[in-house]
Amino acid sequence: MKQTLWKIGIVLFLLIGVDRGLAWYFDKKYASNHFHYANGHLNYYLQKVHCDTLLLGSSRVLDGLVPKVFGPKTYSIAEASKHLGWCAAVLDLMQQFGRLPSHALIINIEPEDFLNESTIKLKSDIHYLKYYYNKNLFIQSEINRSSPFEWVKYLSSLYRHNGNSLILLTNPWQQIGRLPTLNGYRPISPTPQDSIRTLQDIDRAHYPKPVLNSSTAKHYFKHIKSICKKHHIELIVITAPFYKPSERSVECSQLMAKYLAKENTRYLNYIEKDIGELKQLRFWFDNHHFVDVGAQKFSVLVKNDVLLP
Amino acid sequence: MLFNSIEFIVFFGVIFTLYWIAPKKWRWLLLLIASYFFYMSWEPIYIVLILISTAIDYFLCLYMTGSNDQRLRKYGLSLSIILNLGLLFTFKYLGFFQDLMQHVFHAFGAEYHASSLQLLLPVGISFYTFQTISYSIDVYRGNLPVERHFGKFALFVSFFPQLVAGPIERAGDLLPQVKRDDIKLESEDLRDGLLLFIWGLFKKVVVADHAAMFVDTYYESYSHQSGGFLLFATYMFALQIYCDFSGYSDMAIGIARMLGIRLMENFKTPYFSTSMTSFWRNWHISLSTWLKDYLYIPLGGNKGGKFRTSLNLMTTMVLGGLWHGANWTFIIWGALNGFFLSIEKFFHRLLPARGMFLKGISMFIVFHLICLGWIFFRSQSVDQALTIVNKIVHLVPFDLYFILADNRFSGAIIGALILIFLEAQIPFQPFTAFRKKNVVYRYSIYILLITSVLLLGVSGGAQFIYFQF
Repeated sequence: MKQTLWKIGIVLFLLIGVDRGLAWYFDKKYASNHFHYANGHLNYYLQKVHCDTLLLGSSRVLDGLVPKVFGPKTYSIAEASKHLGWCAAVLDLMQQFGRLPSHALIINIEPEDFLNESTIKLKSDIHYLKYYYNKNLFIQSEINRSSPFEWVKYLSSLYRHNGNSLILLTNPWQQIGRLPTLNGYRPISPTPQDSIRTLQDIDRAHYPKPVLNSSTAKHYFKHIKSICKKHHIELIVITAPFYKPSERSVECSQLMAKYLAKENTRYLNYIEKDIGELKQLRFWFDNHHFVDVGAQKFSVLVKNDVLLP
Repeated sequence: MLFNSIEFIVFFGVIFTLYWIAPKKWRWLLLLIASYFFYMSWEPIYIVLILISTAIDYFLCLYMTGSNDQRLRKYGLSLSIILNLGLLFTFKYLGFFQDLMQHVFHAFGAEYHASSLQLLLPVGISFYTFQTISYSIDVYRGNLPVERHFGKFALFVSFFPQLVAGPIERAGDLLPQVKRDDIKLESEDLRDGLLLFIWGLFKKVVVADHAAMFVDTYYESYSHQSGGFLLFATYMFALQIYCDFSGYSDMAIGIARMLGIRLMENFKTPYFSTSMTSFWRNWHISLSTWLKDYLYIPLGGNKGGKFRTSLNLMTTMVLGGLWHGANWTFIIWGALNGFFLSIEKFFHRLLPARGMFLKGISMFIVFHLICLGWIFFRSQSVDQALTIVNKIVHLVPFDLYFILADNRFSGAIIGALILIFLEAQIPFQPFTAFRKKNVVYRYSIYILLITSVLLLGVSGGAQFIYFQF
């Protein structure tokens, strides 16, 4: 038995060596990663960008808002399938790195994020930023909230690269998501299948009346608001339109409008606002996302609305 | 509490330490409390079901043993089976049969209003029900002495490493082990158990969970996907279900081994099988042997001519399919496998298996027949399965680069390559071949597995597929 315990000890010792060595290698890879995936755009922004206006949100910002329409010093940090929790953590990181926008933050929030059933999604988003676990206290505390033993995983230095390691190795070979030349915008070219996809994607289901009672979402929103207030950044919340919004989206956006009014926050609800010619099918990739030409027009619309007093 | 969660690792660390420092005569009690705690971490109220199931079999078996009247013994056994299957039926199949009745009544122009009883399926109910039924049958047949210690019998029913997804242990194997007071911590058990646990964890979080993300994407949007993508997704599902389930079994066997208890082997590289019979001898062995011993052989087995054998096989496999879930997809999956087995039995050997080349062809054919079944197994409905089969049959060119560039795919493939390399090199059970390798090789394997779990593992603690059964 003694011998076995010794052997386990030796394996553990070797493992710690490999863990630290590989973590060092992946840290280097991470620091030089400016590709879209594995937080490459965020990394690029934290290292190189000083902007006056920041666009933040999910793929509906990534593909739907063109930073250069707003001005040369506007930048977009958006990731597909990310929610309010991710946005709050990203903003906290920017604060820490001294990279907050000097003028305004335009953030796309999906009203459904405030539903109680979205809480799991909101919390799981934070784990995409696990690289910063030992670097950012907000991220650390949010990750630790997911389980009382979560910190145990971070005893391994390598774990902060969990989920990103393959991307860090294969990014240089990939053709998509190269350097963020369009200030973080990812245009979608139209294809003949778009209209079929858009029509198939419409959510026609009937849901029970929504209640926006997620304390987690409110906690994240208040964090974003407090950072903006502290640094005198104008906070503008938008909800990008749908080709045909579901009954639930409309109801949720109305409830969110009331909540944001109480919070004295400016809200541009494009689910309810008239989007004019953007209602045409040719501007849409699916029910949620614009193709490039739609994104250009939508960005002009948002820019004009933002500039209105 | 999942085996692939940090909570379980902490839980097991505590139990392992307490188990080996506790007085020997109380270890069973510690394991029983740990098992109930483990089960209650899902849905506390369902512990009542385990207690009911335990009590039914404990008292009915005592009754059967105490009676010399064969008729009363038979009643006792029948009651045990009816009550156990009744619980299983209520929680697992009631909704399905209510739907079925509604359709049947509707077809005859009549109305049938089912009660809208929404019951959450208790985790592992199919596994522990089969385990307790086998105990009752073995006691009835006189193959096993009755267990008179209620606590130790309760531990046999609820032993946490195999409680929720097997292996389905026979009382003759597990009961004597949980009753032993003289188990010592052997270095061999600790080393092999630990390795099996890490090996299972690797299969689950590196291979199965990556493959799952890929499969889910394509199976959920199957109507938009081309046959090529769906074929790849089906191959990935074959990989996923093997690594998910065998990974769970390896972890369960490893955990039990670290507690000095040996569980039966549940998988023996089934995809290397050259016949359907051989596949079913190596896939989910604890269920296959259960079905053989308690259903196929009592039905007559292969002792009534080829047609009778085929009928018995079909019945066994369809019921085996239904055991997996209350859905027509599982019934068709079982029927397909029963059909392939019957054809094979009918023509004695469907596939040639002499020489490397012919063995390779047999393996290829068997794998694809199994994959055909997996399409039904994975689909939400028969319609979905038929659409996918239709699309695969009418293959259209697809962008291979798009699949290869998908990180979920490459993650699963890297994991699968390590898996195939290791499974081909090292038969992990028994470990004799692995132990003969030199120290550098063995230590490299340990470090490779742990590093892969840390770097590539899907860390959200994804559910095991077989928990839903």
